[in-house]
Amino acid sequence: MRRRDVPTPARTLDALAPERAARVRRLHRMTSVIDAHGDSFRFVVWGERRLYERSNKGQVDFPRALEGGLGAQIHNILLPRPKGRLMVHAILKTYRYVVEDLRAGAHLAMLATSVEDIEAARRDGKFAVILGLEGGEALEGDLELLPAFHRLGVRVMGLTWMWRNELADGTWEDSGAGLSAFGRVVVKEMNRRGIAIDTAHMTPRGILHTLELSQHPVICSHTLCRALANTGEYATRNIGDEQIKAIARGGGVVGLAPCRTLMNNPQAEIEDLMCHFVHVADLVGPEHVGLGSDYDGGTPTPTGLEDITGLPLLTSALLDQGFSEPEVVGILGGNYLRVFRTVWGR
Amino acid sequence: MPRASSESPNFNPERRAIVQRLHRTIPVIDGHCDAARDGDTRGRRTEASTARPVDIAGVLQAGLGGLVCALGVRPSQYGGPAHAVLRQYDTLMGELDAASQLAALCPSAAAIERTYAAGKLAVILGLDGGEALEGDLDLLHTYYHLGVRIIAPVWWWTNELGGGACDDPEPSGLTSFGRQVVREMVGLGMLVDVAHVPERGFWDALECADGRPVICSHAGVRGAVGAGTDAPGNLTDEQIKALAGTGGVLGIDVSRTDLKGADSTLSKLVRSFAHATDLVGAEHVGFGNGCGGAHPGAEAADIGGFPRLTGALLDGGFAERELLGMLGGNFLRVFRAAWGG
Repeated sequence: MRRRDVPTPARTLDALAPERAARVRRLHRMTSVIDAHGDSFRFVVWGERRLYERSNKGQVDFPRALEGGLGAQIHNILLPRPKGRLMVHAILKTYRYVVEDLRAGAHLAMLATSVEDIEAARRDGKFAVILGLEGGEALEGDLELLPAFHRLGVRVMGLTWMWRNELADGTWEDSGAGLSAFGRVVVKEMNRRGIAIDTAHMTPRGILHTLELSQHPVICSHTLCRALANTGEYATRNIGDEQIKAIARGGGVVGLAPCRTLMNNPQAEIEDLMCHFVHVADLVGPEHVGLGSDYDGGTPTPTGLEDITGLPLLTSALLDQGFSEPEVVGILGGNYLRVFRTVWGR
Repeated sequence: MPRASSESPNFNPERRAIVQRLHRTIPVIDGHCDAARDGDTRGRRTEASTARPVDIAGVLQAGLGGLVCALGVRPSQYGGPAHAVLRQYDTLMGELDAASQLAALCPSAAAIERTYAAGKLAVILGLDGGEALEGDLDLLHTYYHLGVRIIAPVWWWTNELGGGACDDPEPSGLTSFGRQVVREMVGLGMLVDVAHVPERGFWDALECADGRPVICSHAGVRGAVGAGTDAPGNLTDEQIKALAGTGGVLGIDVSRTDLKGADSTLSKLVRSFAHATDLVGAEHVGFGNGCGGAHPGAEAADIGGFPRLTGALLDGGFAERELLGMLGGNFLRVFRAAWGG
């Protein structure tokens, strides 16, 4: 149980006491701080900004990630929405900009395809970009593309997005079914190839079915708890306790998002977000809790967390909640590293 | 210059020593090989398909040092063209991973030389036909990042870049997108290949390449062996001169000169080389398509391997200096000029 006399969290970096700010910086140095979900590369594809340059638009770029103390982030290659064709085209198109931004920003960031890479980035003071795909429609129904994506550096794939695809139902098309025959084969093949499974956007039954089949831990990269936020258009995006328990039993991590939309509360603040961190930690233990910002995915955040430079406020709020330093280090990154080490292997 | 010879190659020990020395001096480069493309219709090799993996050991044995492997799609292939090409890329890269002791992907002339010095086969990535761009210049940059260094804008079929010989009796030239791609390629440091490109597209490509070297990775010499049966046919003298005028190279197509083993056909090949070199000089001529398609190495083996071809050219009166260029030096020069570094 967390402490009862929780102080109101700081809303600005300036409001952090100097010794608290120093403690947060020290904690950020103790692990690779990992954010399991961001969508920033789409803005590069759209010609709005480059990630190697500091921008005041959007929420994440390489300089701001380093400033906020973020060590690594799963950057998703955005797929045509809602149900497009030519997924491979979109992926190869984005890949151009991933390569070019990482090349131009080589002094700031690097592609990470292994835990060793993430650790090397931390040693070198660089930001590690992990490539992810948000939705198994990326395969265009072809299992053989999985090794090709792995060769490009993709290490995480969500099985669905909002809509049903060849693998399973999505949040907004829930028929109560589990994985399709193709989805089942993809889970097995992702295990074999060492690509982490992300269950965000899946249905309750889909998540449980995935966990029945997966030999490896899975993550739910960006979500909140349905037990605490069960109203509004996005309620079904939030994960139920049964699913949280199943992910924890499998050794996985639930990534929580600083997202007012998922809370269905336009005034939600950091303390409201903290309720979700405490809920998952109380339910299954802090070793199954992580961060999944969904930054540049386009949703309003609590005050102070408008972009990744506010990350110290989140860390400080975790300390306020009474999480121990080892627990905070796990939530910030250690828990994901454990999963990635198991899944990516070698 | 009495080059064309009807004699069979004379493999006396002295001759053999010269040929071996030439092959040791320069990486022998074949400007075109289809093997990477000829998987099943989904771009993946299966037990049932007739396609074989690139036979790297066989290709090395045939006396080659460098091989341009072209990816490309047929209209019926699975998913979109980019889907098919991504699969072919993954298959080829998987084969190179498995044969890392024997071959390496080379995106630069320096890498070709390093790989050759290490006794390995230098594999250069090409793309037959611009279908895989799916009409999007961004994908050109992606393929460049993946290591593709040579693109033929049009293969058999009409695509977004220009008219094709296979589905159009009077093929158009390059489209505005095709012209844009060629200009972007030149700026990016990719080599434009006019093999298969019908004549109007040929002249458009040369115009858009803006004086930078252009190659024809594999075609026959019309002046020596006629038009050929394959559309769009062998290059005319005028085309060969224009290609040479860019500083480029014509890879004389072994299969298209109808060479299958017999010495008489080998001499026909020598005649093609003689015709082209008399026309534009030996520095604009190389080998193309010597490894065949589905059975790489088979055709080179049919003509007795590249050393036998080298021997025949030596008999044909070519100087050693000229031969070094034709064997690989000319392609290497153009690769360096087009790719930079």
